[in-house]
Amino acid sequence: MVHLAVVIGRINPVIRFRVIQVDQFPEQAEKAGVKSTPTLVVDPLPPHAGNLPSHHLVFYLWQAANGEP
Amino acid sequence: MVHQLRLAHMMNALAGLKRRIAHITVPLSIAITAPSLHHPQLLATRELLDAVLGGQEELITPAYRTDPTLDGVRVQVKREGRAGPVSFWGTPSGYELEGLVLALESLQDPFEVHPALTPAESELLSQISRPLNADLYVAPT
Repeated sequence: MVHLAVVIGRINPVIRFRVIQVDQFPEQAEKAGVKSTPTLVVDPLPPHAGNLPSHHLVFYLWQAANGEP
Repeated sequence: MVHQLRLAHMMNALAGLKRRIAHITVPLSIAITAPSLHHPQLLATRELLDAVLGGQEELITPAYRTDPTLDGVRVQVKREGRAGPVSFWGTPSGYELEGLVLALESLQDPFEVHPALTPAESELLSQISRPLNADLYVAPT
């Protein structure tokens, strides 16, 4: 998914990703409700755990951008 | 035997990343910010970057600075002072190191990647106009 994040960020730079290592930022991960990896957190959507294929990831981001839960 | 195989695999992976770095032709920088210059994550990050950049530092310049308000290392690739859209929190080891190299490659033209997104996926992404911050939590690999 890091690969996809880079590709997506290149296509549309208003979408910015932070790739966060849970072992080095455990408090941050706990606060975000992360229970497994990979987990994607994009407000206002609930966290999504597990890998997302490109079409799901793109739609997830589109939903987040349009404020749709 | 397993340890030797793993080591060989790691060396091969590193050699592959170094070859990709060697194909970058525009000046880029990697901003590494840590709570202190002696922070373990900074030291580990420096070691990784020394290994993968080896000899390319004139074109791809690591820049280290401190910010005591941080709780860990942040790594950001830049071109002409402008940050790329992906930043890395923590030492980017394993698959994340490959992600860092890809982030560097994405700052130059042309940028071709496989697999790429479909035209429909690219079109949907292009419709997003408001800034979106996405946090991807990953485990060390």
